[in-house]
Amino acid sequence: MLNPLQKDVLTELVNVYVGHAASLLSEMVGLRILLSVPRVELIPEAEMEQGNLPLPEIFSPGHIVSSYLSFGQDFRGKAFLVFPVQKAKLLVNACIGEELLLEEGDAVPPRFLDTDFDVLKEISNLILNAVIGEFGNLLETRVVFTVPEVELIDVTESDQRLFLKDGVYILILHTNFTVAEIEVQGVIMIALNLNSVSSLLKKIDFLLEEQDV
Amino acid sequence: MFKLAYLALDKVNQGIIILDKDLKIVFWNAWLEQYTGKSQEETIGQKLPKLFPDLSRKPCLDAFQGALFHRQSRFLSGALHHCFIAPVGEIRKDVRQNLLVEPLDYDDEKYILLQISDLTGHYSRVKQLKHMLKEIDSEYEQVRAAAKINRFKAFHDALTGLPNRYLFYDRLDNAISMAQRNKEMLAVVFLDLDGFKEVNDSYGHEAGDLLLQAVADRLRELLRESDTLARLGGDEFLLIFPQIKSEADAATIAKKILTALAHPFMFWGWELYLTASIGISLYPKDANDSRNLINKADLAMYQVKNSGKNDYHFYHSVT
Repeated sequence: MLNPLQKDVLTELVNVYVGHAASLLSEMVGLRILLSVPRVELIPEAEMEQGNLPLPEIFSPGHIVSSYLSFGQDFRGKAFLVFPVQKAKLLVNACIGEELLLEEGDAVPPRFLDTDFDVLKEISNLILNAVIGEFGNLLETRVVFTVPEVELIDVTESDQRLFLKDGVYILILHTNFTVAEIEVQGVIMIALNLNSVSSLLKKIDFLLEEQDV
Repeated sequence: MFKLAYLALDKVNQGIIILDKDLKIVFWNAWLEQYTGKSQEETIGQKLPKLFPDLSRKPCLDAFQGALFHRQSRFLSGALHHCFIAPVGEIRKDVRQNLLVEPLDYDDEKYILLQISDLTGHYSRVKQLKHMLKEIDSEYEQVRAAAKINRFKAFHDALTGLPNRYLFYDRLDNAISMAQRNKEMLAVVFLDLDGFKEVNDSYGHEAGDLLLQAVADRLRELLRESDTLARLGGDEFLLIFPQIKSEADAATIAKKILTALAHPFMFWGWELYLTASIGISLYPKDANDSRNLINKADLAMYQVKNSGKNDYHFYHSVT
C-alpha cells in the first residue's frame, strides 16, 4: 500500500508526533517516558477483515484494552490505541507509581478498576490528540476531536467493533512505550476514509518531491 | 429557552465552568459555589488559574491551549492529577477530581467548557477494594502453597522425603506401561534392612530414624534419573529400575546396593554396621502388574532372610 519512501516519511513524521506526546506525558506523570513508532503500515480494511493480511501480533487471542476517539471535518476517521490487557495494566501501574505485580503468562486477566481506565483514557487522549492533531496541521485542515472511550474487549469479538465502517484504510502505528525502564508495546490504529488517505498520501508525495528539488 | 439551559447547567451535579480566550470565568455554576464557597459574584471575570493555582500547572494550561487553538478535547484524570479546584474547608484527605476540557464556539468567539467531577469517595472505595484484592491474592497464594505442601506430604515419606507407597504404585504402573510399549524389561527390588530392630532397641528410635535417613541417602546416590526409590514403612524400601537389558543388570544393581550399605554408618561417635536382604522380580517374566511384581519381590526377599540374610535373590529362584 505504501512504497518504501512513503513509509519512511510517515514513520519519521509520526515519531515526531509521538515524541511530542511523550514529553507531555513525562511532565504529567513525573517520569521519563519514551515513545517510538518503529513500524508503520497502511492496510485496506477489507483485506484485514478477510484475514488476507496477518493482524498485528497484538491480536493474539485474549483480552485487549482499546481506547478510541473519532475525529472529523476534512480529515475524518477513528483512532484507536490498543494494548494487550497485561501491558495496559503495566503502563497504568508505572504511571501511578504502583507496584508491578504481574507475572508473565498469567492466565487471569489483571483486574481493571475504573480509575485505571481513567488513566488510560488520559494517556490515549494525549497521544491520539497529538498524532491526529499533527496530521491535521500537516494537511492544513481543521480537525474536531472527541474524548476517547476506553473498553476492555475480548479479541475474538473485537474485530468488527474495532474497524468501524467509516474507515476504508487502517493506518497501523506499532508503538513502544518505555516508562520507568518498563517496555510496553501497543498499537495505534487510525481508520481513515478514502479522501483522508488520498490527501495524506498526496501530502507525503509532495514532501518527497520537495526534498528532491 | 436560553434561560432554561442556563438554569439546567446550574442544577447539574458537577462543576461547570466556561472560560473565555483569556481564561477569564464567564460561567460558574451553583454546584461550584457550594463546593468551593466562592460565589458567582466573586468568580465571574476572574482569571481561573489565578483563583485556583492547581489549574496553572502545565498539563492544564496545555489542555486550555489545545481547546482554544486546536479544538482539542482533553480528559485529565484524578488518578494522575489529584485535585484541580480545592473544596471549601476541606477535611477529607487526598481529594480526587476528573477534569474534562472541551472547546466551545459562540458568536465567532472561542470559549472553553470545563467539567469537574469529585471522585474522592469513589477513589477511597477503589483504594479499599484494591486493598481487599491484595489480601485475597495473598491468602490465595498461602492456600496454594499449603496445597502444594499437602500434595507433597500425601505422596512422600515424612522421615526420608522419599516417595511413599501410593506414589510408588503410581510410578510402577507408569513404568510398566512404558516398558510394555517399548518392549523393555524392568526390575522391582524389595529391600529390608537386617537387624534394624536391634538398632532401635539398643540406641533408641531417634538413632533408628537417623539410620533410615542415612540409608535413604546412600541408596539415592545409586539411582539413575529414571529409577525410583520409595520407603514402604519401617525398614522396608522399594525400588524400580526400568529399561534394564538382562537379569545380570539387575544382579549388578543388587550387588551395588549391598556394597553401598556394607560401609559403616557413623553418628554420635558410634560405628554401626548394617546389611540388607534384597528380593528382585522382573517384568514381564515374573508378572505384568504392579501388585504381583511387588509381591514376588517380597517373596524373594523372604527367601534371602531365611537363607542367611545380606544377599539378593531373584523371584524365579524361590520356586
